[in-house]
Amino acid sequence: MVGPMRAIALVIAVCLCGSVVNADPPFGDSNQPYDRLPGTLKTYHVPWAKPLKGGELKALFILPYINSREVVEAAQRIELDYTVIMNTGPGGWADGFAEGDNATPLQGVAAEEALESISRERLSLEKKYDVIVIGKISWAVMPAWVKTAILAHVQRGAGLVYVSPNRLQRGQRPTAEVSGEDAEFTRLFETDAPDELVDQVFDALPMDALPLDLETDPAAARGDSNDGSRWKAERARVRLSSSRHGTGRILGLDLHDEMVAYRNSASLTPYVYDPEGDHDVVLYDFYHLLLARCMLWTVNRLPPQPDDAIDIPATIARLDTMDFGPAVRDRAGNHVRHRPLPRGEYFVDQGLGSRRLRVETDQRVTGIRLHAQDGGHEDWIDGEGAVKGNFTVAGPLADGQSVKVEAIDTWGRVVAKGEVEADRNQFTLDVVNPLSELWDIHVIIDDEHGIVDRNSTPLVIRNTVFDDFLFMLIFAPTPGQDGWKGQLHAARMAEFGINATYTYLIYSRHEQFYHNARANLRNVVYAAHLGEILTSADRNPDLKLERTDRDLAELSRMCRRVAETGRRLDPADFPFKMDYVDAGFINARFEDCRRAARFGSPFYTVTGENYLSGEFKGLENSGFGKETTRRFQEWCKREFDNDLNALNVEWNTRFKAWDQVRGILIQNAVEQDQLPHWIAFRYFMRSRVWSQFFIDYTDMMRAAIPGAKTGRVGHDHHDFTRYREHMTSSKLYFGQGPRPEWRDAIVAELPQSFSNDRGYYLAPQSTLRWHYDLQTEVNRERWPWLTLIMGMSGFDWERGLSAPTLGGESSFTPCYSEVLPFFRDISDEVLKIQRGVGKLTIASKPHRSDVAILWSPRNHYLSRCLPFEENGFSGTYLSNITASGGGPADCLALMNSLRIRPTFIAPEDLGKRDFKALMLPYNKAMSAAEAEAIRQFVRDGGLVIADNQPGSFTQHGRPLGEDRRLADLFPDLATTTNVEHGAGRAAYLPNGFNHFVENLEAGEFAQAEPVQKLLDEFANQHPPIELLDESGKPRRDIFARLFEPGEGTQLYGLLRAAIDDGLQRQMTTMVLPEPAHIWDVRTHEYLGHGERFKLSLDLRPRFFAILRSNPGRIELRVDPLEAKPIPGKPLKVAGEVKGATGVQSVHVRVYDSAGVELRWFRRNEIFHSNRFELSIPLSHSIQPGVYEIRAEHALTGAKATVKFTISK
Amino acid sequence: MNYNLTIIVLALAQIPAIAEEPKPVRVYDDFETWQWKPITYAMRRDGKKRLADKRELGFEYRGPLYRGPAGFLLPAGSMVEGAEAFKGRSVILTDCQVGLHGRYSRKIRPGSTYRFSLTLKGEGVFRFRVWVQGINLESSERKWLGFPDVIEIDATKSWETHEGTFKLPHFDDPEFRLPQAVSAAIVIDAGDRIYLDNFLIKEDRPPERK
Repeated sequence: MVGPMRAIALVIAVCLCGSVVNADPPFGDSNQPYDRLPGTLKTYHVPWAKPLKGGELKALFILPYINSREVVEAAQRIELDYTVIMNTGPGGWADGFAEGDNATPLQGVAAEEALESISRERLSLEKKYDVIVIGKISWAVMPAWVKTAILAHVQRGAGLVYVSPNRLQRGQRPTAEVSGEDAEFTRLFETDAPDELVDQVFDALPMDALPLDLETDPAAARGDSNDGSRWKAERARVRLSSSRHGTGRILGLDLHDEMVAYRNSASLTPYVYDPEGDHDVVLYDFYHLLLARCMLWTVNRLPPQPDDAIDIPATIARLDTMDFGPAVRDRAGNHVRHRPLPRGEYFVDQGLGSRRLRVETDQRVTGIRLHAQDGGHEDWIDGEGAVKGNFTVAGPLADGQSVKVEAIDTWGRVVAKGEVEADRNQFTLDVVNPLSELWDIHVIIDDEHGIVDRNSTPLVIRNTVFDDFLFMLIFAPTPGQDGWKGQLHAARMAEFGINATYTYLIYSRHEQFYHNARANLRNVVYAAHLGEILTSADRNPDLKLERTDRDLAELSRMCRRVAETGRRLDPADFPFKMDYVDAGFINARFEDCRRAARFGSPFYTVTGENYLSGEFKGLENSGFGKETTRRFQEWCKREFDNDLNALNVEWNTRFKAWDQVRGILIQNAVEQDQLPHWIAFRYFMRSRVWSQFFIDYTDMMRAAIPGAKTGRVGHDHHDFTRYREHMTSSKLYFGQGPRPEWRDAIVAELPQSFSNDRGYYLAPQSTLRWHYDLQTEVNRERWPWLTLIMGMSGFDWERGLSAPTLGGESSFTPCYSEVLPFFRDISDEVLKIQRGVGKLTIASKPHRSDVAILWSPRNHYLSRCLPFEENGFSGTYLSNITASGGGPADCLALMNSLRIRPTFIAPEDLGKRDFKALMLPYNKAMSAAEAEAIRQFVRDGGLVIADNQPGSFTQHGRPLGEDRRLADLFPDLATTTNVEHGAGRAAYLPNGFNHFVENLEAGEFAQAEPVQKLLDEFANQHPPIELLDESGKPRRDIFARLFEPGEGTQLYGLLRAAIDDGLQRQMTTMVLPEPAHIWDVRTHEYLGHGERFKLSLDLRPRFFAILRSNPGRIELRVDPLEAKPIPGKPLKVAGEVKGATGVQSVHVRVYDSAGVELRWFRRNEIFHSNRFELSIPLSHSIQPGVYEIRAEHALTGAKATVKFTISK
Repeated sequence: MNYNLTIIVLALAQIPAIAEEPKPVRVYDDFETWQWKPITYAMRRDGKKRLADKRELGFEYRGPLYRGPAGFLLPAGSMVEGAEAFKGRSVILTDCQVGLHGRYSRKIRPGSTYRFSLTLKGEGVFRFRVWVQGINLESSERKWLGFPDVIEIDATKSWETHEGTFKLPHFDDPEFRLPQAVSAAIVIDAGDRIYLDNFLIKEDRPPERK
C-alpha cells in the first residue's frame, strides 16, 4: 500500500512516538533480522582467494543493513573472518526508514542504542582487524567517535578500504554533498593513488570486459560524482586514492556512485545501470575480485600474478582453440570443456586475476525472427501451437556445417527441436505442453567439431490460467531490479511459496515480464494509477474552488473511442489534457497494453489510492468539466423524466433550462440549502463518471488484451453495482488488523457479489509493520487460510530489504541464509494450501443462500449528510471512501455469524433475481420505483428485514417526513414490527443490525437470534452446515464458508472469532444435512462418517472436506505402452483413488534419482471420480536415471509413488 | 483513529513554532470569519454520544459540514450576529472545551506573564484552563500535573470587557519537567451559555528572554 495512507502512518509515527520508540520485534528477537549474518547461503562465485595464502583476513565491514549480504558475497571469494556493523544507509547512521510505531525496523532510541552498543563493542581497540571496509556510507553522517575509532585501528596498522568515499548529506536518498571542506576527509581519501598502485590493482582484471573506466583526470575525479543522470550510466568511472594514517594503509575505491548508492543494492560493488535490468553474475564476481585486491593491498598481501601465468590473446580463431589448454568460463559463468570453443566470449582465470578471451568464426547466426502460425503474433504464441521462424547467417553454410534449432525453457530443459529447412533459412517448432511462460529458441550452427555458433531469441508462451493459490511479491526486490538482490530475493522466496510478482506496466517495464518469466514467477500487472490526483499539487487543491480542469468524462469518451475502434486517438480530434493525461498518454498506454498482451495476468490494476479531487478530505471539488456537465445534464433528464420543475422542487434550485443544470460544491449546497442537489451530483460522479471511466478504460485495455480483468488496489470509493463485467477484481484492503473477516468482510463481499463470483482477489500482507497477522503463531497460521476462506486467490508480500532501515522489513536474515520464524509459519500454511486444496477451493463455486442485501450507493452520500445518525452507511475515519464500519457491514457480519451467506444486490436487481429474503440495512434514500419493487417482493412471498429507517428520504436525499416510502411495510420505526403483506412479511428491527461487529467483538451475539428466527420462519433459510456449542445452541462466533467444487465434494473453512484466547468453549458439534465422510484437510485426519461431528475449536483455522464417498489409497502406474519413456515425449501416468467419487485433487511432484525435486513438474491435478491421468512432458535433455513420481491426495493426504527410468 | 490523526495534524502544525526561535505569544480571536468544514469521524462519534446523553453539540452543522470560526481546527461554538453579537459577529459557547488542539495549543510558557482582554456576556463562567503535562526525560513517561484555570470570569447579562494578567502556577515535581509550552482551552460548563468576542492573549516576555 502506498500513497496517502502510508504518509499518514509515517506522520503518526513521527508525531506520536517522538524520539522514543521501541522496536518490534525487538533487537535480539528471533524475528528481528538486524545484526544477523550467518552467511551459509552460497551463490555463484569463483573462490579467488579461498584459501588465502598466509591465512584468513580479519575484516570489519561497516555498511548498510540491507546490503550486508555483500559481506557474505565477499567472504565466498576471499578467506575472511568477518565482523559487521550494519547502519541504515549511505546517508544515515541509526536514523532510517520506519513506517509507524510498530514498524519492523529498529527506530528511535532503540535503533540508536543497538547500533551504538554494537559499534562500541566492535570498534573497541581490544579488537584487532587486518582491514576495515566502509561501504559507501557518508563520512559526514558517521558519528565522530566512530570515525575516530576507525582511524585508531588504522593508526596502529589496520588497512582501510573505503568504497566510494563521500560526504553526502544526511537523508534516506541523499544526492548532495555537505558544503565546505573537511580537511581530514581530503587528507585521507582524496590523494590520488600512484600509477604503480593503480596498475597493481587493475592489471590482473579483465578490464576490457568490465564496464569500468579508470579515471585518469585527477581534477575530474576528485569529489565530483556524476549528476542526477548517474543512475543511467552504463559504465562506472573508477579512481583509486591512497594514503597512510599512522602505520595503516588507506585505499579509496571511488566508483563515483555515492549519489546512487541507495540503488541496486551495491554497497561494496559498483553501481552500473543495465537498461534491461539484467544482473550479470560474472561481472558481479569480478567486482568482488576488485574489492578483494583492494583489501589485500591495504594489508600488503596483494600477490603478484603467478609466474606461470600464460599470455591470453584477446581474440582467437575457433579452430585454433582445438588444443587450448587453460580452463575457461563462458559468459554465463559455466566452465566449458569442449574443444574447439564455440564462437563467443570467455574468461581464463589465473591466480587473483582473469583475462578475457574472444573466440571468433567466419560463420555465425546473425538473426532470428519468430511468429506464431495461428494468430500471427510476433515472438509469442497463445498457449500451444506451431511457431515458424527465420534465421540469418553470416554467409553460406560451408561443407559439413548444418543448422539445428532447439527450444530451452526457463528451467534449462531442451523442450523442443525444430524442423529446419536450411536452404530457406526457415524452421518450424511445436510448442506442446509448456511448463514455463518463455522458451528461448536457439539456432545452432555446428560442424564436425561441434558447435560453431549459436544465437537465441525468446518466445513468449501466453498463459492466462491463474487457478492456483498466488503468493506475490510486491514493492520488493524482484528479478530485473535491485541487482543481485532482485535475483536472490525471488529465488529464495520461491522456496517458500512465492510464485508471482507485481509487474510495472505502469512504467512501461516490459523487460520485467521477461525477467519474471525466467524466474518462473507469474506477472500480476500494475497497469495504471488513474484518477484525478495526478500531481503532488492535486493532494492539496483549494477545496473551495470548482475544478473545471478535471473532466474525467472526457477521458472516458477518449478511452471509449479507442475501445470501439481499436485504433490510436488523433490528438487533433481529442485535444483535452488533464495534467499529463491526454490523447498521447492514452495512446501510449494502449500500445503498452498491446505489448503486454503476450503475457498473462490474473487482473490488471488500473487505479489505487487515487480519488476524485477533494474526495479523500470530504470536500469534493471536481465534476465541473464540460463533458462531465453535459453528461450530468443528460443523466438528470433521465432521473427526472425530463421534468425540470421536478428537479427544482427536489433540489431547491431555480434552473430555467436543462443547460443550466450543473454540479455543486458541498459548501454551496450547505449555504443554499441544496443538499439533495449535492447528493445526486456526487452519486452521479462516483457512479457515472468515476466508475464509468474505469469501465471505459477496461474496454480500451480489452481491445489490446482480450478478456483482461481489471481492478484496483485501494479503497471502496466505487459504484460496485456497475462492476458486473468490468473492474471485478482487486487487491483488497483487508487484514493487517484483528478480525478482518468480521470488520471488513464487506470489502470482499461487494465485488464478489456484483461480479457473480467471477473476479480475482488478492489480500495485502506486509513486513513493513509488526502487525496483528504476524504477531503470534496462531495469527500466522490463520492468515493464509483466512484469505482462502474469504474467497481470495492469494495474497501479496510487501518489502524485503528495500528501504534504508536498521533491521526489519525482511523474511530472512539479511544474507538470505536463514528464514525468520514468522515467515516460515506463514509460508508453511501457504505451501499446504498450494498442495491442491487451494486450487480446488479456487475452482469451486461458493455456497450462497437465498438472502440478498440491498446495496444502494446513493445512501453513502445521504449518510454523510446525517453525521450524528445511529449508524452510518460506512464508518471509520475513512468513511468517505470505505464500505466498512456501517450498517451494511454490520448486516453482512450478522449474516456471516448465522453462517448464511447473503448476496449484495442493487436496486435495479430487485425483481430480476430470485431471493427469498431481502435485508435493508441502510436504505434511507429510496426511489418510489425501488420502494414499489420491494413491496412487490414482499407481496410475492418474500421476507424483508430492515433497520435504519428505510425509505425516509427520496433517492436524492430529500427528507420525506410523514410521507416516507414503505410506511405500509414498516409502520413504526421506533419499535420492532412484523407486518404481513400479501404472501410475505416485512420486519423492522430497530438496531437489529447496527453495531453487530462491535458487539460481536465484545462477545455479544444476541442480535443474531431474531434475524435467524425470521429467516427460518418466513424464508426457510438456514446455514448449510450447523455448528452448535456445548449447550446445543448455534455458535455465532465462527466465520465459515462452504465451497462446492462439484458433485459429491464440499469444502468447509472455519475460523473462530479471535475475541478471546480460544481456550474456552472449544467443544463444537458440526451438523451436516446428510451423512458424509469428513477429512480435516490441514492435518489429513479422517474424522469419520456421519451427520454429527464433535470438534474442538481453538483459534487455529480449520478446513474440512465433506465427501459423499471416502477416498482410499492412490495407485499410480506408468502406461504399460510407454514402459520405456522417451526423452522429448510426454510420459503418460495413470492414477486411481480407490473408492473416490466426486471432485478430487492430487498434488504431484517428480524427483530424480538423488531425491532432488524437478520443480517444473510440480502441479495440482483436479479430476472427477476416481481416475486421473498425468502427462509428464519429458524434455530432450532429461538425463538417464531413475525418477520417481509422487502423488498426494489434496484432501486426505494419501500418497503413492511410481518410478520410471530414462535409459542411456 | 481519526482522533489520533487530529492530534497528529495539530502536532505537525506546531512543529515549526517549536523549532523556531520563540516569539511572543499573541492570540486574538474576533470571531468575524466563519467557515464550513467537514465533520470528521471523531466529531461524528463524539457528537452522537453527546446527543445520546442529551447534551448540546455546541456548534452548528448542515449536512456533512459544520461552521467554525477561522483559525480553529475543531468546533468552537456557534456564530451569532446582529443584535446578539458584540460587534459584527461573536461566538456563543456552551458545554464545550475550545481550542486545546490547534488554536491554544502549546501557547502558554511557564515563567511568562500574559495579558488578556475579552468581552463577555451570558450566563455562567468563562474559564481559560491550562493542561499542564510534565515529561520524565529519562523514561519519556508523561504525567498530568494539573489543570489550573488562569482566567475565570462570571458572565453578566450584557456585554462587558474584562482585562487582566495571568501566569502559569509553579509546578514542582522533581521527576517531571514542564515542556517549553503547554496547551490551554476555553472551558464552558454544561448549562452555561457564554457569548464571547475579541479574546486577546499577549505574552509579556520575561526579562531573561528580552
